[in-house]
Amino acid sequence: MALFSRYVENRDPPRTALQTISSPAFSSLWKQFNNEEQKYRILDMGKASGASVAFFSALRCKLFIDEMIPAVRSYQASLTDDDERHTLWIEDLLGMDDLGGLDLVMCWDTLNHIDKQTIEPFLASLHRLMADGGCLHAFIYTRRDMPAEPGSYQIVDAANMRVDYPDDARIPSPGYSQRMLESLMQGFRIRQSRLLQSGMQEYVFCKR
Amino acid sequence: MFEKTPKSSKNTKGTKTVSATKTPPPASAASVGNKSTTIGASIKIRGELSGGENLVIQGNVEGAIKLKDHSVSVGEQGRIQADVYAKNIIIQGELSGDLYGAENVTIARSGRVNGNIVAPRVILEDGAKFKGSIDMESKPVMADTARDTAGAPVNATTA
Repeated sequence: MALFSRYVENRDPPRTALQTISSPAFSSLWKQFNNEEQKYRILDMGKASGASVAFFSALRCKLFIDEMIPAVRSYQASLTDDDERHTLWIEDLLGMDDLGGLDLVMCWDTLNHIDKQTIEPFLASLHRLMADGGCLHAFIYTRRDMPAEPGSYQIVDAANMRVDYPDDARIPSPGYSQRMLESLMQGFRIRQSRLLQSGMQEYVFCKR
Repeated sequence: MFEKTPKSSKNTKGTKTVSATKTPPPASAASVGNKSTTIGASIKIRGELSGGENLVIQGNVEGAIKLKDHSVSVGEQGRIQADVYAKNIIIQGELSGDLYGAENVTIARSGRVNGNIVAPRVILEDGAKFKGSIDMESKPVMADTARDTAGAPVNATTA
């Protein structure tokens, strides 16, 4: 039987649906959120997580939570071929009137799952909603493939996060490089960038 | 309409329980106080609920729920379209509206909430669905009307 066996390329290491990843850039960023007088405004673009709510409850804050990807996907589906240049309003997609002045946006792996056609207006809309100096935290896949669906992120502590993927299915990754992101993210500057063992690049972007 | 059954009993722990419907109240409801009213699964209410005792909702409510100093528990069969003002709020069913908890708001594993929460302490259990904002101020805003009507008997209009 061995004669008929084929060589299988060893790509990325095997993954499980549940992963724990380190987040050193977020840990460093978190230290600045220490002003007890300030009420912070935070947007979590992932599925609601009890662990993350408990984590942010240490702050005096208003936490906005909604899954961004389903809203963006339905928006993308509504676009026609003529809509090359379009404006996107995140607050309308999410149906949140009070969204704005955001000090922190937990983008998780949302950017990996937004079409290239939509990512620029998406980021421009986010830029409008953020406070001056506000920060955006994101994970970007650097390998050639990535989970087919966004994971559910839970903050274990500032330096560690747990990600639960719905299944093991994988799709090609857009593989954004730092230079590509810089060109896409007008109005933001990269404050930190760390390559993690998981193959993801962790970024903290700040509004200029 | 809904009503309490006149008979109540004491269990082995000495706490008072009220059985108003065939559907037993959620386990968590038993811990919110010693006197409660249950709105059964077949009941639909449209209007404003206010009163001076704990409330367990297994039915449908549209409008507003204002119970100062008391707890509101929405059971797994509960379907609510209302703003809720209470001391403690536990959601095991579906709710669309804003929640104002003087102490705690808990969305249980089976709970689904679309709205905003203002409370000093908010708990989302694993599996809970939530969309909206959470304002973790130490002193949540309570509706003036809730203060005014506290202690009044529960009243409602049926749909």
